[in-house]
Amino acid sequence: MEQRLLKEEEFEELWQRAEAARYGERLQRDYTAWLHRRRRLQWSAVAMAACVAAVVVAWPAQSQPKGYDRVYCNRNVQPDSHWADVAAEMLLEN
Amino acid sequence: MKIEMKKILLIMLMLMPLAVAGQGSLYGRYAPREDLTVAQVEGFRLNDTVKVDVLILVADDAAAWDRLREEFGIRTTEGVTSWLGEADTPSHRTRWTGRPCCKVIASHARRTLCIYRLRNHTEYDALLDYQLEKLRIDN
Repeated sequence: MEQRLLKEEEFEELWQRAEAARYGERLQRDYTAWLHRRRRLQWSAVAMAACVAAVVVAWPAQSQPKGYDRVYCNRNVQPDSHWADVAAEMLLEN
Repeated sequence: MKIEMKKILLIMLMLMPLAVAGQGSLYGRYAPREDLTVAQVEGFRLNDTVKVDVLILVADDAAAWDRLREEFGIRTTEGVTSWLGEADTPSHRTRWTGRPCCKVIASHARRTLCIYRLRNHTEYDALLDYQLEKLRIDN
């Protein structure tokens, strides 16, 4: 079968379609890469938040003075060390 | 984006209770009392490696101390009384069985009751050693 030469208009149309397909492909590739990058950043933020929270929870245990880790009291009338002293003194009274 | 932010908030909310979990149910039980000063000492050091949690109840006045004595079944009215109590109910006397329990020491002069939570024999032995060591030093 004899191949028919494309007319100029047909060729132009085909060329534009090919260009559009290439741009579309590139756009899809770039968008997918952007999605992956965004997902990585978000999970990194989640991991960092979890690490910060873990450090905040654990840090007070390291920075307390010797003798005790932390003190909770329903009234703010005595310093924390007072209660550690009471705990020690009561053991000796027994 | 909203779903990702929710994940971040969910993880942070899950970790936050860790910060307050150490307060314990006993502290929560007595802290609201208006006639008691309630203190929880976490990680009270008995030696280089052993730490225990201690709940301290101090009665504001004689009436409050009488109520506390009644709650804990303390029949004496002077000196220092002590016993081993159940982990969740320190007023119930028990013996050492290797299971978690608590050492309760009550001082009438101080109107103070201390509850040392003991989870295992290591902590129990460390507490006894602490008392013996201090007595040895004092003598």
